[in-house]
Amino acid sequence: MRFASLMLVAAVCSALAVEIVVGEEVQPASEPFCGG
Amino acid sequence: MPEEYLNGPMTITSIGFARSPMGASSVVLENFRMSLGTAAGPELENGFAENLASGSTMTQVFAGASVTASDNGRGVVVFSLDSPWDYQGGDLLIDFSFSHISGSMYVWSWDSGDNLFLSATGAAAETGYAYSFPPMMVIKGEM
Repeated sequence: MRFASLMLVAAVCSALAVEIVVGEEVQPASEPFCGG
Repeated sequence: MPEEYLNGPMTITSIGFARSPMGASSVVLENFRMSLGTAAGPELENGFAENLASGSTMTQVFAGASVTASDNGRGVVVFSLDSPWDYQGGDLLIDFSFSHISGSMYVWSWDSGDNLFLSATGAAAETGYAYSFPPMMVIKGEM
């Protein structure tokens, strides 16, 4: 499997460390981690 | 979700996926690779190579022959990069692939409106299917 994702980033940051959360909890999907 | 766009550079140290409570909480990925680069534009095309900005290159930031990917207990599956990557601005292109997965892990996906996700069967695929339902991701680093 191969995937690419384009991030239009949004950020919540402190002084140095930053954690960027992209997206929201809308719908569960097995991609990209599908298989069996 | 409220968003503030980040325009400044940062050093990315990990990339994670927000896991939904379905399927496996841990999977084994064989020949897993992840690379980062700058995208050619604000949306993805179906060809992997054409999504890379002209004159730029992809940098491999994570690789493993057999990688166990597990929920960290807080709903995120985190891949700590082998080496930090300096994001210099622009649209971030994330390319990852694996040859086999032990089961199915479900992640949260969202409707981005634009084609921000490209999927293909086969780790070496040159083309895939771009669509607007990318996985929710958590990117950590330092500014």
